[in-house]
Amino acid sequence: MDIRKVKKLIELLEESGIAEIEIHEGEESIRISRASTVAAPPPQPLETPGPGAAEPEPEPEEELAGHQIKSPMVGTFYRAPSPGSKPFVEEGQKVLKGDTLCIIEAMKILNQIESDKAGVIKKILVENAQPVEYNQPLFIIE
Amino acid sequence: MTVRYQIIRHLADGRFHSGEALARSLGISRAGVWKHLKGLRELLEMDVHAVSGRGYRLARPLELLEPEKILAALPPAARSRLDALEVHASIESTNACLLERSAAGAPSGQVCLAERQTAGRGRRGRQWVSPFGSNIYLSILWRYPLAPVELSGLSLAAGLAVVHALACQGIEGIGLKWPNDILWQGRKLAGLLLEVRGESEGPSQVVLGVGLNTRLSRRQAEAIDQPWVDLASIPRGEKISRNRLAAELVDRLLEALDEFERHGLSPLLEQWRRHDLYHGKAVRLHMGNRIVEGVHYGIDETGALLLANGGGVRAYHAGEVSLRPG
Repeated sequence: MDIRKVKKLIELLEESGIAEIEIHEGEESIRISRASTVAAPPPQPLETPGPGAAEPEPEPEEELAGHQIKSPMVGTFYRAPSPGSKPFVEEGQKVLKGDTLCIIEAMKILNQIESDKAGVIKKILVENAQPVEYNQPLFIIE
Repeated sequence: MTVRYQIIRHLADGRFHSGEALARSLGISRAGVWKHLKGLRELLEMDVHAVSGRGYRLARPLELLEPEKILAALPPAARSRLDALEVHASIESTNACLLERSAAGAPSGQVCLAERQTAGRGRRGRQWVSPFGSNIYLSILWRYPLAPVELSGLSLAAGLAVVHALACQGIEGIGLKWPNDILWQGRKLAGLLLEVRGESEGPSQVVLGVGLNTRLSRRQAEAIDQPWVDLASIPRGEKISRNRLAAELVDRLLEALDEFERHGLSPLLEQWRRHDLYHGKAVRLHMGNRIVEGVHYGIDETGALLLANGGGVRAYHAGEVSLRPG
């Protein structure tokens, strides 16, 4: 069954008060039901989101104790001002408020991301040159 | 003003100047003149002819950038947006210069031009080839109350401003490659690099840099890693005054920077789409280490690139587009 049709069905279920829906189509069939009667489960990203939509990557919560620096935009994450040069920060390094932590490039704009807190970089959560999503945690500062 | 730059100013007319006359007017020895001319050839890769009995001259006249001429060519609207305009004979990078000024509290409307950059910056620390007098290197500082994330459309608005500036100088056939490369017949004529600092909720500061090739020799262009073109090779391009063109760019870019705060990208979308060279073509988008392929589907209202492939149409905010071979 077309994944888009499945998505449509889920939407249909959410909009309605129905608890379960079952469809037969030739040899295929699908049954979608609500997990509980309290609230509909959040829609799962079943396919590529449409234009403009961007789902933040799910991150394991236990890793993220401490102050998070999150990406203010969708873009590409760079740890150094240029390829081959020294990264702005390393794990274990002390930073001051306003220090540049990384660059996020989006649409040929190099955005210098500053620390909004003084502390020690406990963890760098993204690899250099990787795409990042809006609000994705980048650094943990303690 | 350095002695080297003074010598260039003398030679800029393209006529012969004797070593003796140069030495006299600069107050240095003839050996000193010779040493500086050697520097022009070797360090600046300038084409200097020496003919015994007549002296030295440049292979062709050179119109140097002059702040007075640029200012005189600016319309009143541009002058009211301008804070200060300076021309450097040689500088590390016009963008780096204004980023420093910005950190020190400089206001919107500062303009920095240079005849040469020793560390010209392209995207992601790539070099922007920046030999003396051969191009226009121009940066402008602007401050916004907006958050950095709200400025992404400015990247496209600025590219369009450069297209308009060139059209006003009689250059035809210029198009845009997302997000803001300026191409002529598939070859890069100019590039933009925006650098933004700011707090996540705003305010933010933008330094917008433009590099536009006016006349590059083959030797100078050896380090350029993609198909390129200069104005001198484009019909009607050779006759364009560098000062007039610089003024036109300053005017258009100041307008784009100023207008963006009030109106954003929306009023410019239709114009941008008209100049979009890759629309409908099969392309590759390089994002850091990742590559996505698809059909270029134009841009959305935020300026993001739309790519269509098996998974539908998706918006992309980062990456570099290239035509898919074959």
